[in-house]
Amino acid sequence: MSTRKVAQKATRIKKVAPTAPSLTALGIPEPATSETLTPAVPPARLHPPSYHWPLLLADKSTCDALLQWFEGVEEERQMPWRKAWIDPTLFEDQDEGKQTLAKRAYEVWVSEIMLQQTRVSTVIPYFNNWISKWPTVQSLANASHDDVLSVWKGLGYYSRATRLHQSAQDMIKRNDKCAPIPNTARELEEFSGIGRYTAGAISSIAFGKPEPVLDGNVARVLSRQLGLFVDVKDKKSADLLWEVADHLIKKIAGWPEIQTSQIPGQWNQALMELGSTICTPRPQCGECPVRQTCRAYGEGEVLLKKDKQNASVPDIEDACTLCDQLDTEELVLASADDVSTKETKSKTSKKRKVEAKSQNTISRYFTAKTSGASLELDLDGLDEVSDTSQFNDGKKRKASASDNSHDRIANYCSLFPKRAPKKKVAEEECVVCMIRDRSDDEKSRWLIEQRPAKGLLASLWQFPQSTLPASTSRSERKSVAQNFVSDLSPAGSTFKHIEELGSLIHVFTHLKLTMHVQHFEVVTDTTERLDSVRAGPSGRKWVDTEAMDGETLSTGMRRCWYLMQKDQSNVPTP
Amino acid sequence: MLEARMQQADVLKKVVDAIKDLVQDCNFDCNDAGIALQAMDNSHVALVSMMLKADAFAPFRCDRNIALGINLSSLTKVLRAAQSNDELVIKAEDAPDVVSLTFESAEQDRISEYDIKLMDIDQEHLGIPETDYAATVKLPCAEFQRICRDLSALSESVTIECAKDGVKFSCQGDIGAGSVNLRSRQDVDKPENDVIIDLSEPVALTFSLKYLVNFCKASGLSKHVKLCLSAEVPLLVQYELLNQSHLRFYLAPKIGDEE
Repeated sequence: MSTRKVAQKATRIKKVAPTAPSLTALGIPEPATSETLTPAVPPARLHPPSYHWPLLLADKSTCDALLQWFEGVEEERQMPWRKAWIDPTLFEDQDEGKQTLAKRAYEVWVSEIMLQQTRVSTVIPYFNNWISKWPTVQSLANASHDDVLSVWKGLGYYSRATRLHQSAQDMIKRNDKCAPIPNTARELEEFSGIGRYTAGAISSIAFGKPEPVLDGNVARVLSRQLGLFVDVKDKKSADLLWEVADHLIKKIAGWPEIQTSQIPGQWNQALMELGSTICTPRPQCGECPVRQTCRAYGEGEVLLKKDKQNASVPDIEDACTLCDQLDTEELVLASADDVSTKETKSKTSKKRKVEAKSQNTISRYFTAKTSGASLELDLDGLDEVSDTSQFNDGKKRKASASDNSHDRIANYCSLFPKRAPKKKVAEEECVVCMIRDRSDDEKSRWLIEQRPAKGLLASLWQFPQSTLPASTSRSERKSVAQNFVSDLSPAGSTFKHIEELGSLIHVFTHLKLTMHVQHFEVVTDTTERLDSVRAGPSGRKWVDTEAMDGETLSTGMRRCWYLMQKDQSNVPTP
Repeated sequence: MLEARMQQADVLKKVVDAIKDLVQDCNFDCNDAGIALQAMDNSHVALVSMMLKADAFAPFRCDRNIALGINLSSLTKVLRAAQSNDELVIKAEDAPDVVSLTFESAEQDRISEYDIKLMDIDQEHLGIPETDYAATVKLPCAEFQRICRDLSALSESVTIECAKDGVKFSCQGDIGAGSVNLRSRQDVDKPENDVIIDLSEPVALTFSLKYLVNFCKASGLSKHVKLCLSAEVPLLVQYELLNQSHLRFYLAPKIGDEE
């Protein structure tokens, strides 16, 4: 009876039922002990599937090393959302404990949402501002949507703010006022804007539950740890890595004996920190606390030594089917990037040295007319220092040999994970129509409109704009813009095209938008000023020049606005 | 019998000064074409090749091929006794034990004569293949010297990159990085400032600055220095002397690691 229940649960929620067979089911059997330490030899990288069994699972000391390393660097980047884990059992008053934890969870949640696709340095001031404005879920739920958007202004991906706001309201509605934020990843995922990653982060960091996280950084770390040469964005690979991450965190947290502790949060943050500071796309393997269990590092080492003794070829039937084939060109490219290593990795360090030295003598280029001693001399020089020290650079090379080997291994590691072919970013052009209405008292007002509540830059304000066909001329753009604004102008007045101020390029992740800024002036037949008429359909309004800074314009619109202001200050209006 | 009279002792003085730190002992090979020298430095990284054509001397007489094995520091000591405007006469027998140098000062009617004992040097002679270099850069000696000196403060090696419109010398060292860009230019009024680049394909190679700094000691010999580069062959640094004579340095490129 009880087993059935577990099984049911497992199908519904993948994250539960984290026992060894699930990894095996995904194609990674637990290896026999003898196999564990033989790195695959690039470029063929022949290896059995059990090769990807995470070595960290069996190496407690390396896991501890990572946690210790993170403790040491935890505060270096001064992130306000990084705080010590709060143990709820230490509170005498249950409600007080719940509330403290809820506030902490809320901070983690906000920080994780803000950090999506956004750099830490950008997020810090926004985070502080946000938390001081709305310190709890409750206060956020009570805030107005416009307020929320205006505080978010400049962070980008505005739907994040909308969803955060929405979910805060939902939580208050549904849950206990004391502890509105649920503590399990499964419940968290039910709210909009909280995906598997954010749910795992909140659950582990705030509530101390052994829930995995997998972001780009963690995926890179794991791909290298496991020697898994796959595109980590691919669904199948991502599932596998989630499973691995889940295994790891449950093992490290001592689950199920220990249900909550500070370990899960520390572990997840340590993995992310490692991925963002050391195990970067071009890693610094020399500083890595977990290179011992890193398959990619091991392969790099083998490549450096060209240690043939391990080249026992596994049965092709037992070979790993998860990994893609390493591209030998990439191998070469990885080294070519680095000026210092012009030769490919496939040369051993010793051989490299030999070659460098011998090629470095002039007698390699110019042949001796009389047989001289030079050749022998060179060969003698290969083996030992006495001769090399005469080479002005031989010495230097020797001194830095250990660093170099790390660099070269790091170069190899940088191939992991497999890069997906880059998609071309779509391009779009539009006319941005800045329509000015000058009143008699020399004050100017501008027409802006609100974007739809869904989609790109949802609910933000913008100058009226219309998309263009690709590659238009200045006059074509003018006529498109004129056509477009003629629909906007109320009866009795027209918008007169003044000039094209210039073109700005704004890059979104998925779109490169070229904005051609058009300047219009309002020309009225009547002297009557009727705001309601001019405002046109709902969602449009006139804003005074001075008040524009207070509007929630997107960054792109703000740039257009600065362009206009710069233009205005250059040409003093008559 | 060798007898060669040089209008200015200075030329030989400067040549010897420029190479004495690279080469200790070497043969001056004399034949009817002139006096030639070729030697590698101890570590076989660089090669010096000097050619003083018969035309550079008046008169020049050399009946048989002779090799004068000379210790360059001895030669330097003797040449120090010459003043730069002195005429220099080099004399040696057909199977000489000594070479005799005579400095004649026209104004002062002063003649000084020195003999240097010769050495037997078993020297290997390298054949230098004719090369069509991918890039040839002609630039003022002083400029090249300055670049090498400035960059050598930062690093042990320099990367020379030649492109159509310019040449870039760059280096990276422990304290930082540096680079000097020279655009090709021609100055009608001051041709000595010309930077002329003749390029068939772009090339970038890395060399030891210590050697280049050493080569630059020849800067006084000529207004311009010519750098010839091709991928995977030694750099040629050439100083043109009068009468098609020249002083050339070859330097093996660095391959592999450099910081």
